[in-house]
Amino acid sequence: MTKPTIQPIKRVLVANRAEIAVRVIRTCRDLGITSVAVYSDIDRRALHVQLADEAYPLGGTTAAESYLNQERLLDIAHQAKVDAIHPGYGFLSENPQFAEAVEREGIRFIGPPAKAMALLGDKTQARKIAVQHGVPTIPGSKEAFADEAEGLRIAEEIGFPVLLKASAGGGGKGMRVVHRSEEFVAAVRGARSEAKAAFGDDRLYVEKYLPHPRHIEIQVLADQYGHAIYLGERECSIQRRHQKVIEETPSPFLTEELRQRMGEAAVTVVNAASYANAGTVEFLVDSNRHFYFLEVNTRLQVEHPVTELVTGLDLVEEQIRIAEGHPLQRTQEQVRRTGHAIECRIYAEDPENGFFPSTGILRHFRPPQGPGVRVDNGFLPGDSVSVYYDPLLAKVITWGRDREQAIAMMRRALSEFLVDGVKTTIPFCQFVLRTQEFLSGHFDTHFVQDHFAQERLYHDNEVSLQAAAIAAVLTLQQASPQMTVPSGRTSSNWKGRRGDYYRT
Amino acid sequence: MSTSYVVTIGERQFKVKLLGDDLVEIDGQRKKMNFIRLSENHYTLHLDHAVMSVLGNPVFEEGTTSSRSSTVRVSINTREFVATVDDHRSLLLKSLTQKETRTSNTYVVVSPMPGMVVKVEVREGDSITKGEGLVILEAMKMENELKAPVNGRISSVHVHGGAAVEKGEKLVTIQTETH
Repeated sequence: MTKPTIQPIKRVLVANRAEIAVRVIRTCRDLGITSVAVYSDIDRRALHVQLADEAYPLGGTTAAESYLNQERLLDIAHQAKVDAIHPGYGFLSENPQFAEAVEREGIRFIGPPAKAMALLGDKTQARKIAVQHGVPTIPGSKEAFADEAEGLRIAEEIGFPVLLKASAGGGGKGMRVVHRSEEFVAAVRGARSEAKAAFGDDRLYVEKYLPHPRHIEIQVLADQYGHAIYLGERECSIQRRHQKVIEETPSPFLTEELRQRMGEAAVTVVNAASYANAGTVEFLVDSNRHFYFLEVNTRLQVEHPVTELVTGLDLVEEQIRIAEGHPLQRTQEQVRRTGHAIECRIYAEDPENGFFPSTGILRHFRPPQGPGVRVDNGFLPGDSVSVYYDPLLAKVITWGRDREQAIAMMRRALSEFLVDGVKTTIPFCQFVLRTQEFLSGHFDTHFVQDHFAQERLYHDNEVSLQAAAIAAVLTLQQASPQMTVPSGRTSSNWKGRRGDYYRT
Repeated sequence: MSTSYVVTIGERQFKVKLLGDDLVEIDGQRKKMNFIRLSENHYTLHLDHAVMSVLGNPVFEEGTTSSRSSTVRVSINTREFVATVDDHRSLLLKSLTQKETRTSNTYVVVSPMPGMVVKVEVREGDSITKGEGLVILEAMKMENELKAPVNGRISSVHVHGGAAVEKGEKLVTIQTETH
């Protein structure tokens, strides 16, 4: 084993924005590290800039002009004389060229080595590594088949139902579930024309279709000396548009034995790629509790806080320690998990309208507080939510001694979250948290399509409807007292300047 | 002098009568009330001592004058309702105008945000049913399909594929079926 050499990190450039930038800056401050924020033109007043020790303008508005501008980021890194760059998630966090450029400049990238990132970031390569090391993958092949006959032969080998996917694809285009061999040829033709139209490329491949899979991922930590441990799973099956909204740990579905096998599989994959730093190995788990390797996320995940709350670890601190050259401070046996944690992602989206992004100015923004509640937030009242960046406003995370308590705390927390100016996923999360399938733990990645309908979003009682009717009248009076208000009341009962009425 | 209102929320109608500073009657039921303004549009409402958080945002429509009905977006404990408030004058006005001109209704579908039109899925004259796709809009790097809010016929299409649109820009006008 290489003898550890520790090079302390004193100054960190946080190459991100919103809640994740705030979250990284906070740990930097905890560790006595100077944090350096960057910001686009429209983020000058953002919370992450206010909380940092130092701040540098990136210029520009769009992501490409600002947070993805590698050259500008490296310039700032030199100007601010930082030892390291933390990329957060999204933006440049999984860009091996950027990681390599940072390393080349003699600055540490708080994340995996560029080589390991490139290897595991490539889905085909990552799958090969998994196969080579005996980690189960979804049966099938990422290689495109030549014609319908070859495709059908592969499909029959794998066994129906199968999933046709576009080689160039993504976003569900050119995707078909085929249940019987008689349907195969027609499905190939349909998928080909769809793929051709969407990507200009009609190559297809076949893999096994898992009817009701769960999406469960394993958090790993690896140091620079070949040691890796797993910190347990995160259940991420509640998704909309194939993106997670609610995550929790432990998964109500895993047995201790399965947790251990998946954890060991995850460690095998990262070790095989000489990975270092925090990473997440994603799996699909079918209803028979068979698990299949999906991909590796070579960065800190949005949902990392649930793991922090049950393990007591600060994953950003762990990332920085690993980047400084420290060996892992814990063995696998020393990892302790206590209680249950849930995260709800609060996106600026309209659940009444297909989760359409919602923009506007946050007239009110009051995140919840109180026992068991953690909020990772990047916004302040008065901030605007623009079209230019990811619409994640904040994450609410609760920790309880068991799942029931964590859910109760989350319901309380969401009911306290006051947002005005944009639509949010809060009502959707509240819907999930009262749905029987979620409460009993019997759900999978089809939860939204199986159980969610707009008319189920709210369950209104008579009292809230009556209150709304009364509040509507009273609100109008206050907003324009000269209008619909009966005369005699405006002057005597409501005092003060316009826009500042209060009751005497 | 009227202190009575008719409030419409979705398919429901409520008769609201203000009886004084701290008393209200709703559909004949008297309730104690307290309405406290916390900030510009944030209030707390006590209704028979039950506490509710209220956000109230009047929607001022272009060209409407004070004595017509008014629309308010009102949230009770994070649940948002759209309420239309009428007093006796606006109800009277409505009943007069409706008799003469209300043979059909026009819905203008506007862009909820700045973005780019990827595809217009309807043409002028098309019949559509509620929930059918009208326009695919790309914003925040995502494609989003705008769906018909009502049954009707497309009376005009205001945009074409590839067009950049601002928030609030007209996309499609729908004429609802006459009854």
